Amino acid sequence: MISGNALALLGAAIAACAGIGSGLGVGIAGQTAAGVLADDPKKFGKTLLLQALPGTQGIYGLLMTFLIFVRTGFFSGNMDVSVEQGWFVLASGIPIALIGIWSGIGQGKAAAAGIMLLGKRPDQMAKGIIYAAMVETYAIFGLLISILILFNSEL
Amino acid sequence: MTGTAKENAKQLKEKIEKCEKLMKQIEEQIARLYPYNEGLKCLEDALILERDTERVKSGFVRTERTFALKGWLPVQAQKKIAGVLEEYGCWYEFSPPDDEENVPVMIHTNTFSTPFEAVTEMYSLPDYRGFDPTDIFSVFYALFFGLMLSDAGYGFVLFLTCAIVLHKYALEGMTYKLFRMFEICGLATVFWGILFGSYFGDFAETWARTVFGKTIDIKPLWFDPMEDPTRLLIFSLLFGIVHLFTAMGIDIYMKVKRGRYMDAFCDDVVWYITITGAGLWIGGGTLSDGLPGIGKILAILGLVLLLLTGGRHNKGIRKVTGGLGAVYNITGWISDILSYARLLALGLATGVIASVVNLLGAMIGTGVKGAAALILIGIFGHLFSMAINVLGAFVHSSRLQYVEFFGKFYEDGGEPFSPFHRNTRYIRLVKNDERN
Repeated sequence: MISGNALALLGAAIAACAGIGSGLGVGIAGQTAAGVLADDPKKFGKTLLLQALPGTQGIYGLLMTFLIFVRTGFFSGNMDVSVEQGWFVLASGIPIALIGIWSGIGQGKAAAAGIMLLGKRPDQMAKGIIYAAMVETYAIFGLLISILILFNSEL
Repeated sequence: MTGTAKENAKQLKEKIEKCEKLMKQIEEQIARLYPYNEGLKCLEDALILERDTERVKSGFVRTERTFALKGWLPVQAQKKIAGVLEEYGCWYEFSPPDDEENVPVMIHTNTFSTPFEAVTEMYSLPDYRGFDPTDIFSVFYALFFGLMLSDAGYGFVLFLTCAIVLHKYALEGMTYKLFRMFEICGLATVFWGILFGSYFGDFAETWARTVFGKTIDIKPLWFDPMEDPTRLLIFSLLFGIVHLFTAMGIDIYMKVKRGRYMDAFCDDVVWYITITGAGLWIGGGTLSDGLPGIGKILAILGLVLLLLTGGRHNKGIRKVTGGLGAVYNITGWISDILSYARLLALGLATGVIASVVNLLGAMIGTGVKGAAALILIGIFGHLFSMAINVLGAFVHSSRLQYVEFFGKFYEDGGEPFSPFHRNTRYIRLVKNDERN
């Protein structure tokens, strides 16, 4: 029989997987940034800013994992989650994980394009940032659903 | 190459030494020329000024003794320019632009909103016949930024950093505006942080628990979003509706000014009725029992009006499909309003990341050890957390203006008004009376 504690921790582990998307996204943006930098090394700070944008999905995943840890009492050592609650917590980890992975990749591509824009027309950088931020909306929605499930799971 | 490897290596080493000596000599030579550096910079700037002046002069229409000059000027500067022209005995004439003319744009705001011009400029300047919303959205911008950063500690650090930078360096243009804007946003963040009872996350509580083994509880002035995120979600969406309604108000103003009363009513006022009605229908029950009923009537009335008027510009069967299309726009409205859920999500993100930083420090130990860990991990952790959250708050506060707010009315495409000025590269020229 699977215990509620195990299910809850599985949920926490799944939530942390949102970092996959950030890893890939930041990587994609980083490749482009290095290419732009070859032309003009002075743009390092600005490219770094754009490269950091797809990093938020990983942070949201981490955030969700910690919220689950705190809510289930994993840190304080008195973890006692019923099987039903365990399933709730497991469910709460899924939205941010799945949406985080794909939106991270998508945001990475948008950020990479923004970096190229920065390379050609530095004055238009803000628009590149906004394009990348448009993608993040969906990661935020995922986080929101994850949080709402967790906080209404009667823990 | 001849000889043994050893000889060759020796020769090469000598060569390298020689080259290094030569390099040093050349460097010294350059260093001796350093005092001329300032002079060269001044010279370059002086030549730039001269070049720009000549370039402007070449655009004049001239005869042997006269020349004619034509250009744009902001209304505010009219008196001053007339004075100068009088002084030199010129003949002049001012005239408002024709309807067809492409007029360059200069944003003019009140003192509070001036730094927020940076946000408008980053998007695209408003059309000369459009509306400059900087004065209006600046308040929303600061409030949304504060709500998303939502920590009094971070807000204060942001405010202090910007204040120090502004005091120490004489910044100009975009950089100056951005720093001044973040200074204001920092204050707004302090405001929300106090409402939510967040000071570097739960640093004080964690400190008391790990270092002194006591439990203290800092009460938020309003409520703690970590305890009750649903409540903040509802308020976030309400702020969003206020923001969107303001944008629509501007749209009505623009349409009425142009005499398009019917469009103002059908495209905007009807939506006011529908959204207000739907809001009361769904959530009015918590305030008063009668409200959902009124809301229902309003919402249905709004939808019927949309259905009837949506196709008013079309002909034949497209009158019907136009109405359906207008009703379908409700999905756009739902996504616009839901977009403000980011206020809650990013606000919570700050709180949680800050708590995680504190938690990491508290894990090391208790007493003096814990205090040291809290401070050391705290400095790096909170700096990182602040950087990432300030970036998030800036980007998403801008997005809410650009996509949701501007989307309702903004007419962009204004060419910036760039009058002839001293565009120097190294030296900044300041008038004596401007310095103080």
